[in-house]
Amino acid sequence: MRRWLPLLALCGACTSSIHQVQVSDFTPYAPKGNARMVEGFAEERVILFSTESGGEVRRAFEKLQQECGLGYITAITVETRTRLGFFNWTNEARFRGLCVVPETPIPGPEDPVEGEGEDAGESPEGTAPPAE
Amino acid sequence: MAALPGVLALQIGCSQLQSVSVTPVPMESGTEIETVVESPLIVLGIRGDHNYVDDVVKDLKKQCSGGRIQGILTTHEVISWPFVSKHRITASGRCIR
Repeated sequence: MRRWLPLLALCGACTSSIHQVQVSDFTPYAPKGNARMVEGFAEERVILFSTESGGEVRRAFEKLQQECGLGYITAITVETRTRLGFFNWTNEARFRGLCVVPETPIPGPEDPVEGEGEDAGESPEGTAPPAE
Repeated sequence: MAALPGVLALQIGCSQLQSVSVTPVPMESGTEIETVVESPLIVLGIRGDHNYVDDVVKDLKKQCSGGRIQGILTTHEVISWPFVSKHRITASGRCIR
């Protein structure tokens, strides 16, 4: 058994394994000129199996959203990995995405498409246009 | 040193992250919604049905009727004890109305 201890010590703290990478879709599409990369990262050290489940994932996702204040985030890459140590390991979660701040508001599904209703004349039910 | 495997075996009551997925995060803040579903207990690795997975979508839809859900973060974990384990799926997102 004593022979194995140096071997275990050698294996410790020098191993890293990546478990999963997932990429979300790129919709709505936007030119890259309006966008910048944002990142959220969190880690959690685990000693002898004692862990809060998935805590690092939630924290990393929250950081990602904080990095992109007034925009939307698309093309998000999720990466989870583990760095191994001697009787402990560290779980890591890293989110990377494209933060897009549109110059003009993006029309929602219920918003009228540009050009529609222009010939309607007055606004419906006599409502005044928004004051500037 | 000989007792170490026994101590380690007792400590196995842990959760392991199996997968994470995410959809694009919208600009609107919306309302935060979340659902958690768990499988029945799996004894000695013998598992029953997987129908509990369908409840994730049903429950999210119920919490956001008439709206659209974006920025969905989904995690799949396995929680295990000696001889027994269960699966847990957590999905959270924003309901935009």
